[in-house]
Amino acid sequence: MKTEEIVNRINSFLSEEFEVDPAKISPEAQLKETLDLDSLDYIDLVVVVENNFGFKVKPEDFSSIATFQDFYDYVASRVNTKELA
Amino acid sequence: MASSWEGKSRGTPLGYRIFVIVLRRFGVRPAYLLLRLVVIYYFLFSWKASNIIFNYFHERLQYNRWRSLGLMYRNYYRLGQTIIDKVVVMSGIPNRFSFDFDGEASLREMTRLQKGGLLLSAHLGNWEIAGFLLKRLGTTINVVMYDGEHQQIKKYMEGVTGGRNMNVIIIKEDLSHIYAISEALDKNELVCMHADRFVEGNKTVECDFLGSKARFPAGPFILANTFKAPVSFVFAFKETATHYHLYADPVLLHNGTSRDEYVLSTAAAFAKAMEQKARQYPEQWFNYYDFWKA
Repeated sequence: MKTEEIVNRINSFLSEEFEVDPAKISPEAQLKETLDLDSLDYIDLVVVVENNFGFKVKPEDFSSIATFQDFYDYVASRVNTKELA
Repeated sequence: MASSWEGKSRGTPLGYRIFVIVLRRFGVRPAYLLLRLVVIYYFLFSWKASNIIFNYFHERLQYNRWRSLGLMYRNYYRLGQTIIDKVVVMSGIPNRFSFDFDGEASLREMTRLQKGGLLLSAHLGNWEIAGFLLKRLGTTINVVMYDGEHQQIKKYMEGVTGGRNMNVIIIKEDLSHIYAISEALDKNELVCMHADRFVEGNKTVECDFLGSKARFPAGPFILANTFKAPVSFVFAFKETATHYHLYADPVLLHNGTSRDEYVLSTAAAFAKAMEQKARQYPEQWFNYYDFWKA
């Protein structure tokens, strides 16, 4: 899957699921603050990623994800690893 | 004055230890007698909590001053009794507790659906007694708790009761609860949570409750929406020294609406159920902070 396709898909489901103005989503924006995530919302995030890309985000992986760009990179690497497997 | 729960329960491990010794050596009634002394202490000296609970009875429930003072004393006594009862039931100390269970059929229906389920309760009555009894439903019960409870007390109580007959999922900063909750629901197990308290930083939703708007945590309702899990509101109230009344409301299935709409409508339904029970059992309200402060 191409990175651009991944980014578009992520932006689409995040703005829809978390009811965020798509204009607020940018690579350098903070994921937690922009989506207004609290401790239980992360479950929502795990579920929508799983529904869209077929893998579960590990809780410990969130520690290295701060911005949307981090999130795009993480999802892209997991998708590519899955495709190669 | 706090507008949300500050994440700490009162009491000391020593206090709990004394009660457990009395319970084991002499039984429940002597422990209740000892409790009266503790209650008088809290009644006279716990100004902050007393002020909040007095206002709850006097301003929210519109009882006169004397009645409110009486209810305040009964409230402290009931709280102490519920903690004692919890220890008794969970640690297997012989007791004569009896139960009525309105709505048990709803929970049996929920387990039959094989879609998992969320049981939402409040710090109104002694829901952990209900949680303990729910094991007879023949499914795994997972209890979700915030990591703010007094660690020493929790540790001591776990030692006394030998742990719970349920899985406990702690909501932690490290997000380890994510898998625990999603796996439980994926395996069609029941997940029990309180849906009345929140800690600062949690997402909240405003609902009408006892005459004005109050904030409720959005998390439990968002969770129900994410997993499209059936929901039931559950409560357990102490009616006499040895008798409890358990309630489980009819199962709510996801109605296909948008997330925000679902969260708002389910939270409003929960607030309504809670209000009805708060009026029915006024002295068993155990939220000692300003529930309505914006």
